[in-house]
Amino acid sequence: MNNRWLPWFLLAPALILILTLTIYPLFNTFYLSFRQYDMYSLMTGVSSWVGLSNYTETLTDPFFWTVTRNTVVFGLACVFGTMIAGLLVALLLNTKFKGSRILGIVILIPWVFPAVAGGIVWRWMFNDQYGVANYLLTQIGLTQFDGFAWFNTPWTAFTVIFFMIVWQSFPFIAVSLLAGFQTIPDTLYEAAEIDGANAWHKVTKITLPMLKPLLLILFILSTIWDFKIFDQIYVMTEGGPARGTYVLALYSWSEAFNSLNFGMASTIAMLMFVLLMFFIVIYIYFLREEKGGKPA
Amino acid sequence: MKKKAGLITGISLSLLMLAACTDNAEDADAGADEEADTEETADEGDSDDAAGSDEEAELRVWIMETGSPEEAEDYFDRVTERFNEDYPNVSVDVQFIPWLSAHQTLVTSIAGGSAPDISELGTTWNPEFAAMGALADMDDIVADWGMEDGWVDALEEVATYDETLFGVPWYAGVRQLVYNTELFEEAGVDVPETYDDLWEVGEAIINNTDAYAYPAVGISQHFVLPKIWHFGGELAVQEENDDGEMVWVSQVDQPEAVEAVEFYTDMYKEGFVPDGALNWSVLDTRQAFAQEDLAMTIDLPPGINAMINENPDLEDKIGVAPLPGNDSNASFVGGSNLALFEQSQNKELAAEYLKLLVSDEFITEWADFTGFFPGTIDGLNDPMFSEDETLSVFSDALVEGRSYPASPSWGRFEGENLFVAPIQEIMQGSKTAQEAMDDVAERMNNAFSTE
Repeated sequence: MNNRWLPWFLLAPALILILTLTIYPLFNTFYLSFRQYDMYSLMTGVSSWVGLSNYTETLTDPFFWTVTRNTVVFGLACVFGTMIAGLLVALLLNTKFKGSRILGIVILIPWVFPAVAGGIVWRWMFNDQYGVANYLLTQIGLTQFDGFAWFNTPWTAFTVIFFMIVWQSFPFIAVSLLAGFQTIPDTLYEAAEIDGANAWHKVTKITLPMLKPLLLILFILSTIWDFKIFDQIYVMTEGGPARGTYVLALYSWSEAFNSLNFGMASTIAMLMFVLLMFFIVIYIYFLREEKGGKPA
Repeated sequence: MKKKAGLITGISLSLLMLAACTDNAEDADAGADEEADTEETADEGDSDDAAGSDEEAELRVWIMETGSPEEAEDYFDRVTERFNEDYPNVSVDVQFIPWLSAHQTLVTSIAGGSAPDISELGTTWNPEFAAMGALADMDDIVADWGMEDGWVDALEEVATYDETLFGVPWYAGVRQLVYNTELFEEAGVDVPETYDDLWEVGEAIINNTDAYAYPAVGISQHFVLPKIWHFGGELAVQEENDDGEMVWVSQVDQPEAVEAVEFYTDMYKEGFVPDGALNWSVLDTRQAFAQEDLAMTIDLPPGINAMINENPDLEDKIGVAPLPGNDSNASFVGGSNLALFEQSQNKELAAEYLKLLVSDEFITEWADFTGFFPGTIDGLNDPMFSEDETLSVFSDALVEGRSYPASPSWGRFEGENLFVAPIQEIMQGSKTAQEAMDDVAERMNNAFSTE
C-alpha cells in the first residue's frame, strides 16, 4: 500500500458517509431551490430551472416573514430559557446536598422522553376541558383558567410549547455544565474565599468566566436544535391555530409533503440554513474574541 | 400480442422496478394454490367462463392498514385463494400501508418506477394520480365486466378524470347527524330539519342542559364544506376558459358559501361548543359526545361504534337522522377507490384480481369489516345494509351523496389544510367570513390554473 494513499483509504468510510448523508443532500437542496420541482417532476424526473424566482416569491411573501419572526423569537426564547434553567439546576446539583445524586438522575427523564410522546402528554396536560394544567390553576384560585383554551391563540400556544421545549432540553445543558464545574480547580474558590468573596461573586467571577467556552458551545447547539424544532410543534398544534405556530422547519416540510412543492421547500430550507449560519457566526465571533483577549 | 408488447415495454421500463419486484416475491402466499378449495368453485359456477390461465406472474397489491390487521390478512388470503383457483401460478403480495404515509409512499413509488399493480386510493387522490398519468384507463375493463352503471354516483365521479374512468369505487361512508336522545328530551326539542331548526335546537340545548350543542369545531372540513351545498352554494364549478379548456373555478367566495361558513362559525361564537373547540378535530368531537358533553355530532357508523365502545351507556341513547338542510342536505361521500397502475406489467391479471375485490362475494364483507358501505349499487342493496334501521339512514344518504370537485388539486388542498386555517381565523375574529373565503377562493383558483 502506497503510504500517500493510506490516510485516504482509512478515511474513506467516514468520508463516504459524510458525502452521501450530509454533503449530497445539502447540495441537492441547494440545486432544487432553483427549480420548479413538483409531483410531476417526481413522476417524470423533469424539472425546469426557474432561477431565483423561488427566492423572490418566498422573500416577498409576508407569511414567510411571519414564520421567520416566529422562528427567531421563539428559538431564542427557548435557547435562553433552556440555558437559564440548565444553569440553575446545575448550580443546585453542584452543592452536593442529600439526595442530589438521585435528583441528578431524575432530571434526565425529560431528556430521554421521546419528543413525540412528550408532545402528546403536554397537549393533554393543557387540554382545555380535561387538562391537569387548567385544573391546578383553577384549584389555586385562578378561575379564569377554567376551560381556558391554550391552543386558541398563537401566543398562548407558543407559551405551552416553550415550556415543553425547555422541560425537554434543560437536562442536557445541566449535565454538561455540571461536568464543566468539576474541571474548575477548587484552589480558585479557596483563594477567592480568602479574599472575602461570597457565593454570588464565586459564580459570576469564577464559575461563569471559566466555563465561557463550554457555554458558547452549548449556546450554539441549543440554537441549532431550537431553530429547527419540528416534532413537538407538529404533535402539539400542527402549526395551528390558523397557521399561527408555524416555524421554518414546519413550513418547509409542509411545502414539500403537503403541497408537493419540493423546489419551494428547498428554498425555505436554504434560507433557514443561512439564518442558522448567521447566528452561529455571531457566537463564533464572541468565542474568538475571548481567545484573543488578555490572559486571565 | 398485446401481452407480449406489454412485456417488452415492461422490461425496458426500468431495472429498478425489477429489483424491487424480486425483493417482495418471498412474502406472497406460496401455499395458497395447494390449499385452493375446489368445492367453492363448484358453488360459484357462474361467470368464471373464459378466464383462468397457467401464466406465471406476481401481483403487488397495496391496501391501507385497518384496525384489525389479522382479520384483514385473513380476508385477503381468502381472496387470493379464490383467485388462485383460476390463476394457480400467480402469486399475490398484499401489503398493508398506513393511511398517514400512504400518499407519500405512493408518490415516491411511482417516481421510482416501482408502483404496485393495484392500490387502494383515498377518493380525493384519485384525480391527482390520474392527472399524473400514473393510473390505467379502466373504461374498457369495466365495460367488460358489464359494470358501467354499477357504482355509487359520487364515487364514480371522483374516479373519472377527463371523462375516463381511472379507478373503481370500493367502499365509502357518509356522515349523518348523530344525536343524544336523552339530552334532546331534556331540552324538549325534536330533530332539526333545516338550519333555522338547528339554531333553535342548539339554543335550547345550551340553555336547558349542561351539555354543549353542536360540533362547530375548527378542524373538520367535512363538517363545514357540505354546509356550502346545503345553503345552495358550490365548492367549485367547471367553466370554459378563453382557450376553450374546461377549468375549475372556485365558488367558495360566493354569497351562499359565505353565508354557510358564517352560520357555522356563528354556532361556535354562540357557545354551541366550548372555546377550545377552535382546535377540536373529529376525535375531540367523538370524545365529547361519548362523555355526553355534546348533544349532537356528525359521524360515520364506525365513529358511532367507537363512541359506544368508550361509553356503553350511550347505546340506547343514540339517534341518527339525515343532515339538516335548506336547499339540499347532501352528505359528503368519502372513501376509497381501487386503481390499476399504468406501470403494472400484468394489467389483465390485476384487473381480474380487482374484479374479485368488487364482486358481491367479497365487497360487502370488506365494507362490513371496515364499518363502511360498498361502492357498488349491488353491494349496497345487500339486506345487511338496506334492512338495518340505523345503517339504512346512511346507505340512503350514500346514494344521494356528493363528492368534492374531482380536481387533481383537491388532495393538495386537504394536505395543506386549506379549509382549516380560514375557519379558525373567522372563529378567532381576525377575519370576516367574506375575507377568509376570498383568500381561500384565491388559493384554490391559483392551484386550478396550474392544472
